[in-house]
Amino acid sequence: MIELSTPALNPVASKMLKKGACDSDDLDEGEQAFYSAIKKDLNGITAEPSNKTIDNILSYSRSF
Amino acid sequence: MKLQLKNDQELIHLYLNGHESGLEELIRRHKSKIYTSIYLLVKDTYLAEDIFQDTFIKVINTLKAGKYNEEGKFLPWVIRIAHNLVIDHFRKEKRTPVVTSGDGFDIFEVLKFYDESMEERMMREQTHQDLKTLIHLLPSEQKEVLIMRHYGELSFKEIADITNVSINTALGRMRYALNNLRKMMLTKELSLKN
Repeated sequence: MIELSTPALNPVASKMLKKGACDSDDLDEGEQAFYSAIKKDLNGITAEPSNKTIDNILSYSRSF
Repeated sequence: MKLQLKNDQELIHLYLNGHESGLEELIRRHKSKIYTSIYLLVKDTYLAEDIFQDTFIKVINTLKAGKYNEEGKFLPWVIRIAHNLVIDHFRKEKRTPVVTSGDGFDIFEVLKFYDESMEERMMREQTHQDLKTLIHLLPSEQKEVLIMRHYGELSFKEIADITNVSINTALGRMRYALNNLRKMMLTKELSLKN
Protein backbone atom coordinates (compact mmCIF):
# COMPACT_ATOMS: atom_id res chain seq x y z
CA MET A 1 0.00 0.00 0.00
CA ILE A 2 1.30 3.44 -0.87
CA GLU A 3 1.58 5.67 2.14
CA LEU A 4 0.71 9.23 1.27
CA SER A 5 2.00 12.18 3.21
CA THR A 6 -0.34 14.34 5.25
CA PRO A 7 1.46 14.94 8.52
CA ALA A 8 -0.32 16.84 11.26
CA LEU A 9 2.67 19.15 11.62
CA ASN A 10 3.81 20.99 8.55
CA PRO A 11 7.58 20.54 8.19
CA VAL A 12 7.54 22.66 5.06
CA ALA A 13 6.10 25.58 6.99
CA SER A 14 8.56 25.00 9.81
CA LYS A 15 11.46 25.02 7.37
CA MET A 16 10.20 28.19 5.78
CA LEU A 17 9.72 29.90 9.09
CA LYS A 18 13.31 29.11 9.95
CA LYS A 19 14.45 30.53 6.60
CA GLY A 20 12.63 33.77 7.08
CA ALA A 21 10.06 35.45 4.83
CA CYS A 22 8.07 33.02 2.71
CA ASP A 23 7.79 33.45 -1.03
CA SER A 24 4.25 32.43 -1.86
CA ASP A 25 5.37 30.68 -5.08
CA ASP A 26 8.31 28.91 -3.55
CA LEU A 27 8.30 25.37 -4.89
CA ASP A 28 11.82 24.01 -4.79
CA GLU A 29 13.70 23.10 -7.94
CA GLY A 30 12.78 19.41 -7.88
CA GLU A 31 9.10 20.10 -7.22
CA GLN A 32 9.00 22.75 -9.95
CA ALA A 33 10.69 20.37 -12.38
CA PHE A 34 8.18 17.60 -11.65
CA TYR A 35 5.26 20.03 -11.92
CA SER A 36 6.59 21.25 -15.27
CA ALA A 37 6.92 17.64 -16.40
CA ILE A 38 3.30 16.80 -15.66
CA LYS A 39 1.76 20.12 -16.78
CA LYS A 40 1.18 18.87 -20.29
CA ASP A 41 -0.64 15.80 -18.99
CA LEU A 42 -2.65 17.90 -16.54
CA ASN A 43 -3.69 20.08 -19.47
CA GLY A 44 -4.47 16.92 -21.41
CA ILE A 45 -7.09 15.72 -18.97
CA THR A 46 -9.24 18.84 -19.27
CA ALA A 47 -12.82 18.47 -20.43
CA GLU A 48 -15.62 20.80 -21.36
CA PRO A 49 -19.25 21.32 -20.40
CA SER A 50 -21.97 20.43 -22.86
CA ASN A 51 -23.33 22.89 -25.39
CA LYS A 52 -26.70 22.61 -23.67
CA THR A 53 -25.23 23.93 -20.42
CA ILE A 54 -23.59 26.83 -22.26
CA ASP A 55 -26.89 27.60 -23.99
CA ASN A 56 -28.70 27.59 -20.64
CA ILE A 57 -26.21 30.10 -19.26
CA LEU A 58 -26.49 32.40 -22.25
CA SER A 59 -30.29 32.16 -22.20
CA TYR A 60 -30.24 33.17 -18.58
CA SER A 61 -28.07 36.14 -19.39
CA ARG A 62 -30.36 37.24 -22.20
CA SER A 63 -33.36 37.07 -19.87
CA PHE A 64 -32.17 40.20 -18.03
CA MET B 1 -11.14 44.25 -32.76
CA LYS B 2 -11.50 40.50 -32.57
CA LEU B 3 -12.97 39.23 -29.34
CA GLN B 4 -10.14 36.76 -28.90
CA LEU B 5 -7.68 39.65 -28.70
CA LYS B 6 -9.56 41.40 -25.91
CA ASN B 7 -8.50 40.74 -22.34
CA ASP B 8 -10.98 39.55 -19.74
CA GLN B 9 -11.62 43.01 -18.32
CA GLU B 10 -12.42 44.35 -21.78
CA LEU B 11 -14.83 41.47 -22.36
CA ILE B 12 -16.57 42.18 -19.07
CA HIS B 13 -16.99 45.83 -20.03
CA LEU B 14 -18.29 44.75 -23.40
CA TYR B 15 -20.82 42.48 -21.73
CA LEU B 16 -21.93 45.12 -19.24
CA ASN B 17 -22.47 47.49 -22.15
CA GLY B 18 -25.02 45.12 -23.56
CA HIS B 19 -22.96 42.84 -25.79
CA GLU B 20 -23.63 39.19 -25.02
CA SER B 21 -20.62 38.32 -27.16
CA GLY B 22 -18.42 39.48 -24.28
CA LEU B 23 -19.85 36.79 -22.02
CA GLU B 24 -19.76 34.20 -24.77
CA GLU B 25 -16.05 34.78 -25.29
CA LEU B 26 -15.33 34.67 -21.55
CA ILE B 27 -17.10 31.32 -21.33
CA ARG B 28 -15.38 29.98 -24.42
CA ARG B 29 -12.00 31.08 -23.11
CA HIS B 30 -12.27 29.68 -19.60
CA LYS B 31 -14.89 26.92 -19.69
CA SER B 32 -12.41 24.06 -19.91
CA LYS B 33 -10.38 25.03 -16.85
CA ILE B 34 -13.45 25.88 -14.78
CA TYR B 35 -15.35 22.75 -15.74
CA THR B 36 -12.33 20.49 -15.23
CA SER B 37 -11.71 22.01 -11.80
CA ILE B 38 -15.28 21.20 -10.82
CA TYR B 39 -15.29 17.74 -12.37
CA LEU B 40 -12.06 16.63 -10.69
CA LEU B 41 -13.58 17.54 -7.33
CA VAL B 42 -17.06 16.08 -7.73
CA LYS B 43 -16.24 13.20 -10.10
CA ASP B 44 -19.71 13.20 -11.63
CA THR B 45 -20.39 14.54 -15.13
CA TYR B 46 -23.98 15.62 -14.56
CA LEU B 47 -23.24 17.22 -11.21
CA ALA B 48 -20.27 19.08 -12.70
CA GLU B 49 -22.56 20.44 -15.44
CA ASP B 50 -25.05 21.67 -12.83
CA ILE B 51 -22.39 23.35 -10.72
CA PHE B 52 -20.79 24.89 -13.79
CA GLN B 53 -24.15 26.35 -14.77
CA ASP B 54 -24.84 27.61 -11.25
CA THR B 55 -21.36 29.15 -11.16
CA PHE B 56 -22.03 31.25 -14.21
CA ILE B 57 -25.47 32.22 -13.01
CA LYS B 58 -23.78 33.68 -9.96
CA VAL B 59 -21.19 35.35 -12.20
CA ILE B 60 -23.91 36.93 -14.30
CA ASN B 61 -25.89 38.07 -11.26
CA THR B 62 -22.82 39.70 -9.74
CA LEU B 63 -21.80 41.40 -12.96
CA LYS B 64 -25.31 42.68 -13.64
CA ALA B 65 -25.57 43.97 -10.07
CA GLY B 66 -22.40 45.98 -10.58
CA LYS B 67 -20.66 44.15 -7.75
CA TYR B 68 -17.66 42.76 -9.64
CA ASN B 69 -14.35 43.93 -8.22
CA GLU B 70 -12.32 45.00 -11.22
CA GLU B 71 -9.07 44.63 -9.36
CA GLY B 72 -9.50 40.87 -9.20
CA LYS B 73 -8.72 38.55 -12.10
CA PHE B 74 -11.72 36.94 -13.74
CA LEU B 75 -10.65 33.28 -13.73
CA PRO B 76 -9.60 33.12 -10.05
CA TRP B 77 -12.85 34.84 -9.13
CA VAL B 78 -14.96 32.32 -11.03
CA ILE B 79 -12.95 29.40 -9.66
CA ARG B 80 -13.61 30.71 -6.16
CA ILE B 81 -17.36 30.77 -6.87
CA ALA B 82 -17.21 27.26 -8.30
CA HIS B 83 -15.22 26.01 -5.34
CA ASN B 84 -17.75 27.42 -2.88
CA LEU B 85 -20.59 25.75 -4.77
CA VAL B 86 -18.75 22.43 -4.66
CA ILE B 87 -18.29 22.82 -0.90
CA ASP B 88 -21.98 23.70 -0.52
CA HIS B 89 -22.88 20.54 -2.43
CA PHE B 90 -20.73 18.33 -0.23
CA ARG B 91 -22.22 19.91 2.87
CA LYS B 92 -25.70 19.14 1.63
CA GLU B 93 -24.79 15.63 0.63
CA LYS B 94 -22.69 15.12 3.79
CA ARG B 95 -20.54 12.64 2.08
CA THR B 96 -17.26 12.38 0.26
CA PRO B 97 -17.57 11.53 -3.43
CA VAL B 98 -16.58 8.00 -4.36
CA VAL B 99 -14.53 7.17 -7.40
CA THR B 100 -16.97 5.32 -9.62
CA SER B 101 -17.76 5.05 -13.28
CA GLY B 102 -21.50 4.77 -12.64
CA ASP B 103 -22.39 8.38 -13.40
CA GLY B 104 -22.99 7.98 -17.08
CA PHE B 105 -20.38 8.12 -19.78
CA ASP B 106 -16.89 9.34 -18.95
CA ILE B 107 -16.48 12.46 -21.02
CA PHE B 108 -12.71 12.14 -20.96
CA GLU B 109 -13.06 9.08 -23.12
CA VAL B 110 -14.71 10.90 -25.97
CA LEU B 111 -12.02 13.49 -26.52
CA LYS B 112 -11.01 13.27 -30.14
CA PHE B 113 -7.52 13.83 -31.43
CA TYR B 114 -6.47 13.78 -35.04
CA ASP B 115 -3.25 12.87 -36.82
CA GLU B 116 -2.25 10.46 -34.07
CA SER B 117 -1.34 6.81 -34.46
CA MET B 118 -3.39 4.19 -32.63
CA GLU B 119 -0.44 3.33 -30.41
CA GLU B 120 0.17 7.00 -29.56
CA ARG B 121 -3.50 7.45 -28.84
CA MET B 122 -3.61 4.43 -26.57
CA MET B 123 -0.52 5.60 -24.69
CA ARG B 124 -1.90 9.09 -24.31
CA GLU B 125 -5.26 7.82 -23.12
CA GLN B 126 -3.59 5.48 -20.65
CA THR B 127 -1.39 8.27 -19.29
CA HIS B 128 -4.35 10.58 -18.90
CA GLN B 129 -6.45 7.87 -17.29
CA ASP B 130 -3.61 7.05 -14.91
CA LEU B 131 -3.10 10.69 -13.99
CA LYS B 132 -6.81 11.22 -13.41
CA THR B 133 -6.88 8.19 -11.14
CA LEU B 134 -3.84 9.37 -9.21
CA ILE B 135 -5.32 12.83 -8.73
CA HIS B 136 -8.50 11.25 -7.38
CA LEU B 137 -6.37 9.30 -4.90
CA LEU B 138 -4.82 12.43 -3.41
CA PRO B 139 -6.13 13.63 -0.05
CA SER B 140 -8.91 16.11 -0.75
CA GLU B 141 -7.10 19.18 0.55
CA GLN B 142 -4.07 18.46 -1.62
CA LYS B 143 -6.20 17.76 -4.69
CA GLU B 144 -8.07 21.00 -4.07
CA VAL B 145 -4.88 23.09 -4.04
CA LEU B 146 -3.44 21.35 -7.10
CA ILE B 147 -6.65 21.95 -9.06
CA MET B 148 -6.97 25.59 -8.05
CA ARG B 149 -3.31 26.27 -8.73
CA HIS B 150 -3.10 24.55 -12.07
CA TYR B 151 -6.52 25.03 -13.64
CA GLY B 152 -7.63 28.14 -11.77
CA GLU B 153 -4.24 29.86 -12.02
CA LEU B 154 -4.73 31.09 -8.48
CA SER B 155 -1.79 32.32 -6.43
CA PHE B 156 -1.09 30.55 -3.17
CA LYS B 157 -2.36 33.62 -1.36
CA GLU B 158 -5.68 33.39 -3.21
CA ILE B 159 -5.88 29.67 -2.50
CA ALA B 160 -5.13 30.33 1.15
CA ASP B 161 -7.93 32.92 1.32
CA ILE B 162 -10.45 30.58 -0.32
CA THR B 163 -9.60 27.58 1.83
CA ASN B 164 -9.13 29.56 5.04
CA VAL B 165 -5.57 28.45 5.69
CA SER B 166 -2.22 30.21 5.79
CA ILE B 167 -0.14 30.69 2.65
CA ASN B 168 2.41 28.29 4.10
CA THR B 169 -0.26 25.63 4.50
CA ALA B 170 -1.56 26.14 0.95
CA LEU B 171 1.97 25.91 -0.43
CA GLY B 172 2.68 22.90 1.73
CA ARG B 173 -0.38 21.11 0.42
CA MET B 174 0.74 21.79 -3.15
CA ARG B 175 4.15 20.35 -2.36
CA TYR B 176 2.63 17.28 -0.78
CA ALA B 177 0.29 16.89 -3.76
CA LEU B 178 3.22 16.94 -6.19
CA ASN B 179 5.36 14.67 -4.03
CA ASN B 180 2.52 12.20 -3.61
CA LEU B 181 1.80 12.16 -7.33
CA ARG B 182 5.46 11.52 -8.00
CA LYS B 183 5.56 8.78 -5.36
CA MET B 184 2.50 7.06 -6.82
CA MET B 185 3.86 7.29 -10.37
CA LEU B 186 7.19 5.79 -9.32
CA THR B 187 5.43 2.99 -7.45
CA LYS B 188 3.26 2.26 -10.48
CA GLU B 189 6.32 2.16 -12.76
CA LEU B 190 8.13 -0.17 -10.39
CA SER B 191 5.15 -2.50 -10.16
CA LEU B 192 4.90 -2.64 -13.97
CA LYS B 193 8.58 -3.54 -14.30
CA ASN B 194 8.38 -6.41 -11.81
